[in-house]
Amino acid sequence: MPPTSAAKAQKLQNLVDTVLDTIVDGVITINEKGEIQSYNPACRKLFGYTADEVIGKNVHMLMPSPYKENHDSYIKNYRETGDAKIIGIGREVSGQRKDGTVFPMELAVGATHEGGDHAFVGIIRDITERHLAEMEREQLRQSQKMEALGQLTGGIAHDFNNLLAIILGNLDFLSEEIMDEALKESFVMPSIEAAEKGSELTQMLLAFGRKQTLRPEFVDPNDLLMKFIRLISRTLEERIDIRMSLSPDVWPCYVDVRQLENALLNLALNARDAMPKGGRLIFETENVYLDEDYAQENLEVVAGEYTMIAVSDSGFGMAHDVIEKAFDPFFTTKTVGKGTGLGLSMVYGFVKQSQGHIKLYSEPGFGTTVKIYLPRNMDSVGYTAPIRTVDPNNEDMPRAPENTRVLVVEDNASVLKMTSSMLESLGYIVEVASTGEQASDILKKDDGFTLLLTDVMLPGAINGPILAQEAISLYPSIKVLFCSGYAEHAIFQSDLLSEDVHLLSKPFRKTVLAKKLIEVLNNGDA
Amino acid sequence: MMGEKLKLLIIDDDDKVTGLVQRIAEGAGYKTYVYDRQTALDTILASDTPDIIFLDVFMPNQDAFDVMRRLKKVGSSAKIIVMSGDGDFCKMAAEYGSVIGLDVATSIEKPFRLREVREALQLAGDAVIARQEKYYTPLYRVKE
Repeated sequence: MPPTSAAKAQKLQNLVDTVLDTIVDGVITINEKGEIQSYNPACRKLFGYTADEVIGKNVHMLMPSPYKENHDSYIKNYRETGDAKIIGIGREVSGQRKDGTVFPMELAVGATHEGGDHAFVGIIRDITERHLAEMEREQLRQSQKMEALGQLTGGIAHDFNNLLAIILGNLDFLSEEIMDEALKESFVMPSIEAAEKGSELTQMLLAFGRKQTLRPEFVDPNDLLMKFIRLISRTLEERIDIRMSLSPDVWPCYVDVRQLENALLNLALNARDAMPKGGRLIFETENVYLDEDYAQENLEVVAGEYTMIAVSDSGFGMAHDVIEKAFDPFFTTKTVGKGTGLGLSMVYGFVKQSQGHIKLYSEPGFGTTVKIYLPRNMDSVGYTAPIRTVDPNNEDMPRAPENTRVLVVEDNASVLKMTSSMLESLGYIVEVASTGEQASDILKKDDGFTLLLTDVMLPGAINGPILAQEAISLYPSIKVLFCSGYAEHAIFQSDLLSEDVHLLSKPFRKTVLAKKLIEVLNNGDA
Repeated sequence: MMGEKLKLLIIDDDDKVTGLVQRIAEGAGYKTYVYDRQTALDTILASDTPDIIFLDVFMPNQDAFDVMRRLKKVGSSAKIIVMSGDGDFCKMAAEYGSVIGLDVATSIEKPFRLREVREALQLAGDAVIARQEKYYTPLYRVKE
């Protein structure tokens, strides 16, 4: 009964249309020439084209390279050989939207024959979200791995240092006791040397575990780089062309200079080894803002202002799997005996311990860039370099009450200079001392100080707290503010709340210093 | 100079380290004793007041931070030398002790060399003697 079958067909067609209109996945049908025959509403959302814009056109318009170029040959190949590379199997490929952006998609393809002609159905699902989630998981896995490795190596280093202390100490005694020089030379000295080597190794492990002792100070990265480059240009072969691209107004860093130089040296030597036939080695500095998006993509990164120091080479680069392991301790691509596999690990640990961030970019055959980001910890005061950005906190910085004299005690010259510049710009009258003894002498002669701002640890017999006691016994009304690099550590926080101690965390921004000073001057009776 | 030997208390969980420090200190003329971890620390401090304390940072059950809190409680005025195989914690423990009002002389990272320990002891010892002389200035001093 023909009318009934036509009605049935119509009913079926309606059903199929409704399904296609409703389904959340994209559905496209094409003919054997690759021309689009149907294109459901979900596709419109996915690709941004309307059905009118695509019907009758080759489906490769929805694909990025290299799929775009190869698609016709895929169909041809299937028609001729019946070799179904993708048909019946889901596959992850990429799609290209109308605006040119590319997105990951899962594609399932089915094929039908209609009177000898082939037709294909493609079901498309956008998997951008899934990819992001996978990336996040991967990031998390990577950062957990580094954390675990850091704890492991740090713990091993600590235990080994205890053992080495016993070995080295006893060897020192032996070398004092043994009078026979020849005996000492052949038995004791090699042992001491080996133990010292061991100690260097544990030092690197501590560095990776973010547990080395850092002695940060304020430094102009451009200054440091220029000195550093002068130094290494003598060491590196002439076939390596060293270039600099230093941003003139780059923010100073609060960082351990020796360790930063050490890190740069490590990177420069890696770059040299990646360019056996010569090439370019580029040093860059720049002020950057790592935004929330970047922080989301890179776990452990706190969004904010950073000073970036980048070291790039035009060497042979690294493959993805090498990049992933590059910071792992004892991972090396160098031949046995050539590298310890601890160079980049040390750099990583040092940057992390300095509250910074490190990122490796590499392309096999094109070279490698390592970017070190160190947090902008302080204001530009004391440095002649102009600052482009205006400090948003500048307005609500409380200024000094009239005639407030402050004695600043700090053994590091750069920190002392920075602190006194900050204080002066806030209107304080500043006197400085670099040791407890010096400060003590000043206090004995001069009774005009309202506040003592001192580092906790100072070289010599008089440290910060001892100095404070002295000051208070001389002038009971004097206020005291200590600064410490550990002030924010949990141990300090939990214990000192009950103590009558004012503590400022180093390094500090001017705005924090300004507020803390007023707080201490107003109600601190330390 | 001083009639009595200065007293040094060594607190470390490793006997080999305490033995080593003892040997160095006794060679430098100190009277040493080691915290055996059996007796309560307070009892030891009460019975024999140390002039200098050699303190390891990481110890099972009781770390340097715990010990320093005890020292603070009993009002210890001993010079403290902090030591550890973990540089960052070593420096932190030294700052912590100072901030809570203890007299931290210095910190020594392990592995240490004899020279470092001797120098640290010398400095701390000199400071203790100077302090004693300040408080008990004798009218005249008999030269030894």
